[in-house]
Amino acid sequence: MRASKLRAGAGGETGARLFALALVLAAAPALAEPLLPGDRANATRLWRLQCAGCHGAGEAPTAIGRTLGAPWLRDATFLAARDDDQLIATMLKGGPGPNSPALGGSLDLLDAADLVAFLRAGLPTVSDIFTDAAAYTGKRYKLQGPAQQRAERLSGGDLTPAETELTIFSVYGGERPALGARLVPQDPVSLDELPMKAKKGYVVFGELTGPAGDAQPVAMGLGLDFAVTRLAASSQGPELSRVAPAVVGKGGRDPGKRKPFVSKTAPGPARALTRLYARAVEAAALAAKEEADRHLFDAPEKSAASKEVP
Amino acid sequence: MRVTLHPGELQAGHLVALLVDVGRHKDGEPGSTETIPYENGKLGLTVSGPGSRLRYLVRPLGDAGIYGAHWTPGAKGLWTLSIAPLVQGEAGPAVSFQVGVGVPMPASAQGHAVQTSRVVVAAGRSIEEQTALSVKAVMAELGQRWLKLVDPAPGEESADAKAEMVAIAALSRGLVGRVPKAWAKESGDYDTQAEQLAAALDKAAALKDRKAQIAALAPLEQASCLRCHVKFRDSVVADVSSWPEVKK
Repeated sequence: MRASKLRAGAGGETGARLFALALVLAAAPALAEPLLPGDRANATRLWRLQCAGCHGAGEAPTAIGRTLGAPWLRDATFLAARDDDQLIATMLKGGPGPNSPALGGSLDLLDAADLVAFLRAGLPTVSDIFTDAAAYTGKRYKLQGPAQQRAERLSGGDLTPAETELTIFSVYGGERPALGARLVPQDPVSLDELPMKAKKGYVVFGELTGPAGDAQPVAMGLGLDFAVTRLAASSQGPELSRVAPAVVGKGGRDPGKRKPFVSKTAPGPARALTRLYARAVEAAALAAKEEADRHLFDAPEKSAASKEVP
Repeated sequence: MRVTLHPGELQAGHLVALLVDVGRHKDGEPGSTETIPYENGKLGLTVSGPGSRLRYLVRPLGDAGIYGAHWTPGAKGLWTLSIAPLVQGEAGPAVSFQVGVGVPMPASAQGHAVQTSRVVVAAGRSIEEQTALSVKAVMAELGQRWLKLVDPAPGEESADAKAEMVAIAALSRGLVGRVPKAWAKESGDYDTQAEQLAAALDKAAALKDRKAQIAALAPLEQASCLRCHVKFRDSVVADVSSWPEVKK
């Protein structure tokens, strides 16, 4: 649409508290600021009014929220596995469980979008690791058998039942959508449309102890060779620069050559990241194998796929 | 393109809703007033001025050509708002204008024609009138008043806590006898919840200083608001008589 064809008409609503402007058309430059899905300031109040009673205002759901099965929503994995539209629909229409109410009677679409902005604020994302990511998939894997044993050997101890499960995000390049990397649903047709040649690597989310001693989310990127490519945390999160040299570039496809990360300046984070990596690399191997199986009969990419399997 | 701001008088720290109506004249009919809605657009709103420069997604709101965004101005002064396609260089509607936040709208930036807002002072409903509104409207009013006390926006800190609590208590009492239809058989429980909240608010209002009054509200959010909401608003539990234990 050409700007000259837009209507620059006068008028507006005459309500007592409505203000209407007829506008002069002008070109506005596209800017590099991050695109916010909504207004966090408004969401802070909405959160307290509509959500905090169950989902909590601090670091965990409230007692009644836990009783009702309310999850902690400011979770990087939880949010990366859902796009904005899914989150908005859940808020307005309720579900997926019977204890998740539909707030459409109390919130409108823009309110829900504000809450999405509030939830995502400051958390690391897939795009923090792969800045040119165009699409990604997310799937939860359970480590068991040899994969679990290898992960436990590398991490230096048994995994807790919760730690044996991990969501891994497979990231693809290509033409980046205007709204950022697109979450591709786990349906066969959508997955089949993802070209293996465009695959860039994997992302997992974990936690490190932050400056105040609290658990802070951290993202870890793995390349197609399963070596760590990058770490990311929120601006208020743990300082990664001291531990990064001991982690980034380390690891690989061969289980025999994977070693615990060692850092004299940040031994605690190095141990925690070793544990995360030990789980991530096994989950990435499972994801790679699954994808290779999916593309088994795609002739041009068959050879590339077979290389994915460790 | 027509942008409507709500409310008309913008204040720092207060939410502004922008409604954007985008259409273009039909090809070959420049004189026509009929327009074709701009659909499936991806628009962004950039705000810059005395506070942080931010960029928001302008969302389609369902009706053809109608988009919207929320923005809370962070500071008083003149702000520049720009609406343009998200992708640089992409054809689409683009507009840039100034608005005054806590200051008069700049005459030079008001475009071809401006319809100024009428400022209505003290035109609110009385508490009695408000309690006669729908339960949803009463709860919305109650929630806004509650938030002004516990989480005030800049300039709202001076609200008379005692008077506000008395007003909220009156709103709560106004809910007695108005149980949602789905819970008609449990109107007694519903009325009790409303009465208990009102009584707790009266008690809090009688406290000596504002700090103590506000502090008394926090426990009520769980013990009263949530207790009632999970049953009568959200219908996720069936019995809250043993709160905080619940029965589904």
